[in-house]
Amino acid sequence: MIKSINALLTFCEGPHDVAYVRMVLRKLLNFKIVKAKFKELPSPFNAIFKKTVQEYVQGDLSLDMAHKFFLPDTILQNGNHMILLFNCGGKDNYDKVRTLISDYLEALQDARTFPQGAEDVVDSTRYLFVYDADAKGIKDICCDVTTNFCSINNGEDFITQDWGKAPHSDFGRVAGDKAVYVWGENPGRGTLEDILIPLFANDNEELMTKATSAVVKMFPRDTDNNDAIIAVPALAKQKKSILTLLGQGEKPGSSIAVILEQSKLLTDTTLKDDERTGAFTKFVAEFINLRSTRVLEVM
Amino acid sequence: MSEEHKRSEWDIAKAIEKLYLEDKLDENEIIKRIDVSKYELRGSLRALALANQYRESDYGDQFKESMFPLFLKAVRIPALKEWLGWDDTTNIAANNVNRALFFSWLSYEPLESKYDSPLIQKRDDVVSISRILRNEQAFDYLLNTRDLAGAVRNTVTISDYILALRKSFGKTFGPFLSLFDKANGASLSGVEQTNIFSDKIDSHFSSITIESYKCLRNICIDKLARINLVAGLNNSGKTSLLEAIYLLARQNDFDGILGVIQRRGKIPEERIQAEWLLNQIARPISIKGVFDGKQADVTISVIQEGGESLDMSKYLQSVEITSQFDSHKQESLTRIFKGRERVSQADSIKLLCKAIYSSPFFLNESRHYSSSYQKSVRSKALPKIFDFIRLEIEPNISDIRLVEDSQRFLVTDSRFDETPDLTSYGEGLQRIFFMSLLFASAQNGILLIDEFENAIHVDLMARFAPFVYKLAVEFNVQVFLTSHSKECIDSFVQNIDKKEDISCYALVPNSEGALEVRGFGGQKYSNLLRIADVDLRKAQ
Repeated sequence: MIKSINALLTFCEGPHDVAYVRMVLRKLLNFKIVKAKFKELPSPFNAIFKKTVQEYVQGDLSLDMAHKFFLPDTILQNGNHMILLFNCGGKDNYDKVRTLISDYLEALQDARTFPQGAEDVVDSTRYLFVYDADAKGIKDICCDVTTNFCSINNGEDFITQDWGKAPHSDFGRVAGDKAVYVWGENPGRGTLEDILIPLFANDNEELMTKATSAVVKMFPRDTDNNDAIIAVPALAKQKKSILTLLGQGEKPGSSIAVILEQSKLLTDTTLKDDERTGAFTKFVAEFINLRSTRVLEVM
Repeated sequence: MSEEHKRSEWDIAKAIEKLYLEDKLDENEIIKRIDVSKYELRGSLRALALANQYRESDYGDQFKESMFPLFLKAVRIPALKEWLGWDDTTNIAANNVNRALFFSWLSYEPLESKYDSPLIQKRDDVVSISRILRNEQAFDYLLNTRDLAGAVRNTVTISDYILALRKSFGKTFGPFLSLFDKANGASLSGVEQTNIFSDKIDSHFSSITIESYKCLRNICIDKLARINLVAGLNNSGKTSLLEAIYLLARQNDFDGILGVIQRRGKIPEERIQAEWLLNQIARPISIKGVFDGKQADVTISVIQEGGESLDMSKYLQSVEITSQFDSHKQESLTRIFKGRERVSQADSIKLLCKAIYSSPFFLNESRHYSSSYQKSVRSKALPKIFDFIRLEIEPNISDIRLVEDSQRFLVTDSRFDETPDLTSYGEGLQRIFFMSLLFASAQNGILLIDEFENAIHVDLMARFAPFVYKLAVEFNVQVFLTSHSKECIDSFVQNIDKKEDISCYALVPNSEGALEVRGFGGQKYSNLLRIADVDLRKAQ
């Protein structure tokens, strides 16, 4: 019998956002990474992803095209909830997200008519846009999302409701089955690194102090500029350098994403006890109506 | 029923009238109560209406029940009905002048010191009148002389001579007679020549509902387009769908259902056994649709008649077809006998439009395409077909010509001194040629092609599909295609730019095993192909 799947399409800015979300979903919401072939995914994901790859192969695939597929970085599942994490390669890559959602909506309408061999079919879909608050703040980011995604599917309305505050987090906004979540020191300012630095510092205080000192000395940046548009990215870059340096002992040559997930610098207890991580976890669980023993324990 | 209890046509008509007008019963209920067919029921009501008009006329005091068969005959002859200004919806002869003239011919007329006898006294006289109406000279003669026999002599035509020749000499005149038949169009036994409601249409079928036909029950196909693609795996009901559309287009024409059964059984008409024929149409058939913006329907059922006029020793059953297009109701009744020719009765047979059905497996020999070839010549479609064949299939072919005597197609090919027979070329080329010829025959009508992809190479399909579309537009033909092939379906959707001119359908069994339709507009299906490479045949 065909099983109904509730899907959450999550659009992240970059690879380390994906890594953090993936870690939270795995460790705090009991999601498992799906290691299936395309044809084993629920309809319409099975057919869409297969066709995406086929098209590029038919288009005389060259090396510089190899990474231009817009496929999910990771697919995770917990019961009938499936979360697809996309790395958008930056906040402003609206076009490819819009195209993907538009195609997805078109195929979703007939997912049951054309299961293409799938055993499961997507029944309902929610959309989560995860961005750095940067200097803009959540209000302006919500406006940007509305502007860029209000009409998506051949003129069909996509975002039809106003953004409302999430019950348990100032960092999230919800408009029906769409949500925005921002990283930052507060909802009006900051980046993911504002969450990651305290997380890593919790179990690695001495290493963090040394890395910070080294980076500040080696690569001074205008982090105290009165103009937030200059100061926020400068601070983000500095923090990225600190996190990267921090992980080089355990994972030499690796990126933040690898350090985050594969080093032992961040413990499960720290992650579980972190207030901001907890807020994000709760936000996601509530947004997708996730119900499971393990989740309640964590929350 | 004993001889003294036999009911006269008048008695039956009066009984029907009572149930219909006084008891307000519908046609089906009346048929159940009185042992009559729908054809007889409607004919009786029309004849009564005409008789009532006669009774209200200046000649009304001459009315006798014995005249009723004359009215019955009159309302069953389309030419006469048209001349009388007959309207089947109101059952009124609206042409006052012609109606008065007809009534006068039915009546005694004062002539000098005596009364002249009625000109029409028996049913054959009504038939004669209807023939005279087509002949100006004979009609004038009748008006001036009131001499029916003399007027009939003025109406003898070449056709009558040919008929006489056929009866006298049979096969001796074979080739000559076959040429005559070709010029005259297909003949219908026992019924009037068929024609179509209107050759000028604004649109074709926009929707079709098959209430009951073979495995199809309550199947609704809407948003029909210029090119309609029906996909499915074997035995999924695709051919039945085409047949149902064909039957709807043929309205009350028994030859429509005969053609369908011939194709299914893959046997020529002369070898169809009566019992087998009836078996094939055992269950009631009911199909509806909207054609040219107007409602159309057809119902076909096998009934058991019990009339005393029937030779019950040979009689098996009757096939009753009732149809309606807008306000035009038609019916026909075909009695099937064992070891005897069937007999069809119909007041008129009008088709919704030209309807051509093509199957790769039957009636596919060259001779069946000679008429389409002639029409393609006249409509100047042939050079375009050659251009396509030269460009896409065989560049050495410059002409394909029909040889009338042998009914063969000979090919002018620059590689050969002789003109080889078309059958010496590949099946694909032949099929493309023959299918292309059909568009001229189906002008302003519908073309139904079963298993379109048969014998055509996948690579060629991408180029043939837009050519088919081009012909469909040029000849204003609505096309219905079935296919087993994903490549065939995709070729049409991907290679025709005007997506709104395409619709795709799949017949899908539901959880109870009944068939349902999944329909997609051309743009939608094109998007699904691009996004998810869907396969219409595997729709669920």
